[in-house]
Amino acid sequence: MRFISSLLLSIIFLNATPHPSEAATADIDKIISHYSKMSGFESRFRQTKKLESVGMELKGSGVLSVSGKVITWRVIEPAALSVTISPEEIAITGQAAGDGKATVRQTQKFSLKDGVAGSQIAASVRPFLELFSGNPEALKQQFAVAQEKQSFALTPVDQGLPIRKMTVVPDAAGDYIARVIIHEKSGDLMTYDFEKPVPLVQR
Amino acid sequence: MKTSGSDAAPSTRWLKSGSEDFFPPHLAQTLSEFNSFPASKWGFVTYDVNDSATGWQRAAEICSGLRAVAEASANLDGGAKVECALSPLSRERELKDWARDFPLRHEYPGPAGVESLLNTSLAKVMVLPDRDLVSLMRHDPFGSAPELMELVVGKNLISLSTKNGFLYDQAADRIVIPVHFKHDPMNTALTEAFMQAAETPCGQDESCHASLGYTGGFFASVENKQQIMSDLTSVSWLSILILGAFLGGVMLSGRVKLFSLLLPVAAGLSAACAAMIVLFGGIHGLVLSFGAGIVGLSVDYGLHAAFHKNRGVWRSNLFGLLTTCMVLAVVSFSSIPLMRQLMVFTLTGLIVSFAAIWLMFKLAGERLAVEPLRINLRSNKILGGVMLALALTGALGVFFKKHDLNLHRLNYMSERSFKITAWLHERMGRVMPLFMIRSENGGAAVLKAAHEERALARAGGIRLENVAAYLPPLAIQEKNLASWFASSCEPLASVPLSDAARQFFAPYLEDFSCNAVLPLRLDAPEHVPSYAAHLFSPKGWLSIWMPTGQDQEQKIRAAYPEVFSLLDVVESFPRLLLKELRWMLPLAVGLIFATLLICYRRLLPAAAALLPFFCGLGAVFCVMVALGLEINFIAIVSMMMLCGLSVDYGIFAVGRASAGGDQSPGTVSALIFAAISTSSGMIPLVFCEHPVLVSLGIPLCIGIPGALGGAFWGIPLVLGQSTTNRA
Repeated sequence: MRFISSLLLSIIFLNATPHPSEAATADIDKIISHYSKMSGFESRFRQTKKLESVGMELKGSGVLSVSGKVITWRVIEPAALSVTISPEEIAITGQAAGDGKATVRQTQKFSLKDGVAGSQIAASVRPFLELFSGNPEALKQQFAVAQEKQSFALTPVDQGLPIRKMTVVPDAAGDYIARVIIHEKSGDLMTYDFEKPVPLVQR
Repeated sequence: MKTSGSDAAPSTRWLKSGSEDFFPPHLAQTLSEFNSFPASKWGFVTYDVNDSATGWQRAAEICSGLRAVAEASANLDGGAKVECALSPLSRERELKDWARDFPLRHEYPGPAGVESLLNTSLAKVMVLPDRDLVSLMRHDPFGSAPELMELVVGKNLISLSTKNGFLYDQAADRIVIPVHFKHDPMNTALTEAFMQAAETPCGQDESCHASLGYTGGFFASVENKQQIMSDLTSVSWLSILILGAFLGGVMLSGRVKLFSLLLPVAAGLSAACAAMIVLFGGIHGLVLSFGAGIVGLSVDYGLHAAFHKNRGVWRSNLFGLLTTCMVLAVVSFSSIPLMRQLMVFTLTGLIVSFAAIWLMFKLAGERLAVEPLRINLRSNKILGGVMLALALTGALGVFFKKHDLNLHRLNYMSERSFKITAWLHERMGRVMPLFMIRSENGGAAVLKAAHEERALARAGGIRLENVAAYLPPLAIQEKNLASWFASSCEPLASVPLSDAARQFFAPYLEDFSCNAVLPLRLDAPEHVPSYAAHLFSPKGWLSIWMPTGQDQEQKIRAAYPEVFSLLDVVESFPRLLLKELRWMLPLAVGLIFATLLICYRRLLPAAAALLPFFCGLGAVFCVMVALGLEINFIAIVSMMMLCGLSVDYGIFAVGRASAGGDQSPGTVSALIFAAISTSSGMIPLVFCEHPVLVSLGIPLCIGIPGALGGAFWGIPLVLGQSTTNRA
């Protein structure tokens, strides 16, 4: 009887102990799913880009907002620039030279109807759409996920993307994504530190 | 027909191959001026991707191959540019110049504006993952690249979307890769290298090869050359066989002396070449090809003399030469340089070789005589009647036979090129772009005129590519520059920029001063910026109007009567040729008839001598109708040859017709040998695919037997019971 109980318990605990890669995806699923609980959210970020070729670091800040299938990357520092990605198009809005002395706010649009956009900027911002979509399955279609010590390594399935790897670091409680490090194929490094996401106020 | 001319002749300087000689001087000049602009040197490689992963992968490989050839050709004859994707990286030099000239186009926005623009560019750099693009942006702090890229897209003749980085037509599921050549279009070896590079990724996959297409003058040159070489290679065995059989037959029949007739022909050709070089500075390839054939007709006079033991033939020969020269002399008044050159070449060659043949026979006498064939050709009323019917067909066919004298009929186009060209024309809305060349003195006048064009285009909603798209008027440039450098030669030095901005944009900021950016006066080639260089040549500045319909085209032509389309230039050739043929043909025939009247002093023999020509013509028209062929420019040249030789046949036949209407063996032998020697070179051409070769071969291969028939049976029937004539 005792032997059977032990056997039953060991079977139960064996099955209860997750496989390491399954644990990784289960954890990232939990973090990503956190975003799906919000119909939309905003998260402030600070950004650092290390340019190997120039030997310098650029710093900035902004707000990332996701609402449904639309993601808006709103840079505040060093200048106001927004990149909005919807299923149909990418719009990049920023200051440009006008006809006279004043600079004007100008928007460039690229159609997304047929697949990958021609804009390099959009190609680098789009991975965030999968990351913050709240849909772990959609993320895993675009990236292979592997657990590292305190983070996850996401490798793009599409070898044509200019990104070699994304390192995703959750906050201490594992509730949201606190840091994303983008390792570019060019050797440059982009680091984003996110604050806790705030649900978008319903209007 | 490819309309690109040649700025540099092939290896031999005196041998010309351009198309300018097809047009009167003022049109040739227009064509030459147009071809001097870099904007005229585009070709397009297309590939039907079938929107599959394999298709896109192949597209990328094709593109890489093309780029490799372009890079390898950088040191040869100028480097080509392959635009696989509309990327700023493919326009690095233009972008740097464009960014440098920012102050020409925009007023100084003040320190705050400068700071805002530079920080915006920095913000873009922070989200840009491509190191090469980041590196390029160091030279564009004001973010002016999108402005230039919009102009690049706007100047495309057809609107295409982009997919996976390629220019893409969704309806046709086709990518378009523009290739900007720098070399002479006649240098087909370089162009062939590009085509080879595009085909290589397909390997053995026939469907992949079939999905590739090429369009543009450069590729057309290669296709034409490849087809001619392929045709000549495949029929060369036939040529050797036929010529060998003929020469063998001549030798076996013991008539080797006839080979000596080639010497006067060679003398005639040499004299003709020398005359062309002295009078025209060179010989066009087509003149050499066709002219040699016409000069070769002089062999007929030698054959006539040889088979008649050099007795009593030279009057006939002389009138034969005179009648041939009549045709050539009349056509030499054509305003088409190529036709004039062809006539001068053949007249010189014929006269010199005739004189050489006469001299040869005068000196050698009967030693050059050969035995005629043992043929006694009896008159035949039925065959004679058939010949008369054929002659009537020939005479009437001139008025009713369909003709297409357009040069594009002489252009060989593979099936896939035809498909691609038709698709391109369809996408362009079947309205051709219109061009205008301005050669005003001084940049200010050029810019002023270009901006006036632009105002008209804007008002009419017409797309226009001209220098005004890239540069404001000189006065505006100077005003803008003054706003930047009014208080300092280095205004950016005092703008409160962040350290990051100063460091990142250092390559630009270090060179920015009042000495680096000057008004672009465009009055010398070195003042032409790279982003507008495609519109400039030593001939002036090019404007390209892109009307979308007839109403827009009419507005442009009304405002600027000097605009032209390439179609205007090419279509002028057939219009001009037809106009000239309408008086040349009747005049030539009339002069021949008048000469024959002088020769025979009677109407019937004079008319009879023309019979072989009309019989030959009738035979040609019957076959062309049966095969659905139209008369083109090359066929007309071929018919001129037919006229020359068939009138000779007629004169020989009339001169020797016996009272009973039978032809003497000497005449029959001379005519048969003459017909075979001419036909043996032409028969293989009938089996070719290139329209030029086929058009040359068919009229002669069909016309010569028709002319022979007219000489053998038609003339005896017409002359009937008349006595032997004096000639």
